[in-house]
Amino acid sequence: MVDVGYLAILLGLCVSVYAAVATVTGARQGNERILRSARGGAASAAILASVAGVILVYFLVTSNFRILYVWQYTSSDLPAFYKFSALWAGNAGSLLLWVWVLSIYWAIVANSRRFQERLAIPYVSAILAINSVFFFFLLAFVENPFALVPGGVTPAEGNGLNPLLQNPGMVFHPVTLYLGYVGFAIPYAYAMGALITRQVDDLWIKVTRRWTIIAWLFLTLGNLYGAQWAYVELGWGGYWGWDPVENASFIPWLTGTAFLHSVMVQERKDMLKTWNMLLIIITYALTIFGTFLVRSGVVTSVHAFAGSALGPYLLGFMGLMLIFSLYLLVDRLKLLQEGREFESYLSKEASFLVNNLLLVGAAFATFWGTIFPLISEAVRGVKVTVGPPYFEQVDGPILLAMLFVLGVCPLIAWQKANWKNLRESFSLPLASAVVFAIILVFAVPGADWRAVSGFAVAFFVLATIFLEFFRGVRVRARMTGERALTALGRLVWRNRRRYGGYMVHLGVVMIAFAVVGSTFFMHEVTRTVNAGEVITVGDYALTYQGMDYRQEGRNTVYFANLAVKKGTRDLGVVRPEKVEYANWPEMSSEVAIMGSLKEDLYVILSGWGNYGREATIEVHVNPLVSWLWIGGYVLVLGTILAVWPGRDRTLGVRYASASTPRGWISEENDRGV
Amino acid sequence: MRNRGWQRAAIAALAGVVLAVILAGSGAGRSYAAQGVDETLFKKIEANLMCTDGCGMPLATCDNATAQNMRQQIREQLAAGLTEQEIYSYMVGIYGEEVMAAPPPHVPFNLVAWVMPFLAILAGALIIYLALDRWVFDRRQAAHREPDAAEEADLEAYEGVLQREMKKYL
Repeated sequence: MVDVGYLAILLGLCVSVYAAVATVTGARQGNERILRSARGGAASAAILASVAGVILVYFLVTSNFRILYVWQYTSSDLPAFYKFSALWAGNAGSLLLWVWVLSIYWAIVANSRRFQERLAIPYVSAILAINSVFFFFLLAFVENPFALVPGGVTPAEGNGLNPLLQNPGMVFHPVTLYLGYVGFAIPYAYAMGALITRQVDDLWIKVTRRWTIIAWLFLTLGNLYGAQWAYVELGWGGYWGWDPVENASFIPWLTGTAFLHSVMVQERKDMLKTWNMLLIIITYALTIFGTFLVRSGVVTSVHAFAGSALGPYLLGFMGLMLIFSLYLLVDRLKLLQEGREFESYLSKEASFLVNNLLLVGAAFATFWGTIFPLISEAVRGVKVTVGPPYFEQVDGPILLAMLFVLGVCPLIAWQKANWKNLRESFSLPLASAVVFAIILVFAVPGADWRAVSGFAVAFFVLATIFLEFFRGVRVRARMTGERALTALGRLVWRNRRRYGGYMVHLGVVMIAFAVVGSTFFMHEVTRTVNAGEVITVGDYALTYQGMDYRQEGRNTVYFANLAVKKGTRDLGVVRPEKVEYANWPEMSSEVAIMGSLKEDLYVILSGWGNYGREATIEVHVNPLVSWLWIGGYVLVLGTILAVWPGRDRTLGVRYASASTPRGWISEENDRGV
Repeated sequence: MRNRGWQRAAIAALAGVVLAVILAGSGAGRSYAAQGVDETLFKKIEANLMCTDGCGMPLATCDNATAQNMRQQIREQLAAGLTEQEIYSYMVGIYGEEVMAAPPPHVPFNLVAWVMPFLAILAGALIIYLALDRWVFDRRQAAHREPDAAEEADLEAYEGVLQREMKKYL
């Protein structure tokens, strides 16, 4: 069966190579038979990748330690759930998962009927085939997941899975991230297909809108699940540490978000064509670059991914694709004639440029900070660290400005806004934000001015979103005579794309509140206490009652008992843990979290002595962190709403063709996105 | 007209309040810092340093023995009356620039790290400004050449279409 798995990979490589060549040949000659066989090739690649994937999963679940990968990442006592998730614990398995997702996407695209009448599909398919070739090649010759343990022996027991990876976050974070990463290959492939066939109108954008948004959704989820995992499992007290590996998934998220917005300008205005091409090329390249950062070990990261031989391959592939895409773009530049549609500096399309500037600026800042240690070492020969203080000071203001623009953009009309409308739209949110800020200053004495401005901006955006919903409902209720709630439901459902977008924004605002709150108002106390002693943090009083332990399979779980009181109210007992794994040298922390909408009480057991009579406990009060996750759910719902299919899904009227009178529809009736 | 005056006054008042809030906020921040000098300063120093045993973690989040020792050392130095800068210099002297959690900006080359993102954004803003300028200009020129009479005539027809379309979506 080992041979079947490896054979599937080799065949997958051959089939991908064939499909890449055949699609191009078929398209050039207009030979439908070759094209059909190439489409079959895409489907076969998906089937072969699935075969290899299923076989590896089978080996993992049945603990076949003859396979090096299974031996490296699992042990027989691991719960079946984590045996399965070990599929993406190491390089080889991760690549297999990547190619699995990619080939399925590819098979769907290659066999899709839409866009079929145009010539581009074979080329789109060829681009995806090239990606597939590359990843099958890596599996076949660089990181073979079916390699055997040297010497042909079958070890009795496996190495075990890193305890940090034994968390539900381990299941969701990598998978969503990959679905996102790989998903961006689709709009990229369509963009290249459009360039190759010189059909550079916005059809590729329309066709890939849903792919893009879903890829973006998964990338967002990947980041959020990563944050949650770090928060509950790693016991660093935080959910984001600006580590290179985290940045690697944040940078393409930023450019992807920019792309998502700027394509709307092209859809409506026939402009920014070159820019959109550039953005999707960059985003695609960054997904490969992210994988390179994670897998190569060129930058110091707290995430212990073993450095491997993959680095140069990934970098080389990214370089080749980048050169190819940029060459193509420059070569077709003349075709990308921009429409003449900008009427005013003060318009939604102009504000989208600002949005793009800030998003891409933040992406650049993060990228620059992430690679600066390499630059410093190359230029000066001195190693430097670029850590949280840098990103907080550089990315912080940019992202805050971005948040502000997020409030402003949706309210500015397409075409040409006028000051009167803007004043009407903004005076209320601005005033309420200022009032909110003043209340905050008095309610929380000693609040950092950055926190106050962060909250004020977030509140401003919240108010603008609320106002948009309120106005929509009022107009609708007045015109149809429906009751407010019915009007709200119908309004949102009939304008899914627009109000879905607003919901996503609402989710982002909630996340912003959580980030500002937890960054600036976090309390932290670390104390070594004897049994009976009390640790006081904010309103909380934790009484240490002693240590205890229990046996979980071969692992020993040590935990401290702390009775929690808030004011006079008893909140029960929290039990932060340290787990000693039978097959892992270091103990791992399990944080105890007592959460509420207002704040999380977050307790870490740092260590103990004197047979548990004394213990060192780290207690954090992290305000508003739950809103990070709630915001995440709102964002997911909004995204699903925005891409939900059906008759009413878009209101994206394209009214600015050459013969349409301008100006009269945009201001009053359409501020939508 | 009177209305406009009101609005202007309101905007001016808003701007004033924003400014006051910002000033009040920064003032409040300082007084807060002054209250608990030792612990706040310690936290600040901790946040600006890295753990030095190659774990790659910021000192503030690291929990291993090396990190504990470093924290102890910082506390002792603070107690001995060393200033924040002196502690940083001491740490950099022993462990090199790498010990700082962000590239120290007094090294000229490190300024590149700090300034580059903002320069890039400024450059981007300039490009956007120039592009917008050209596009808006182009557009206005094009608009001048178009005969307006036809559009006027179409307007009524479009008004009807608009009403019908709006009904459809509501």
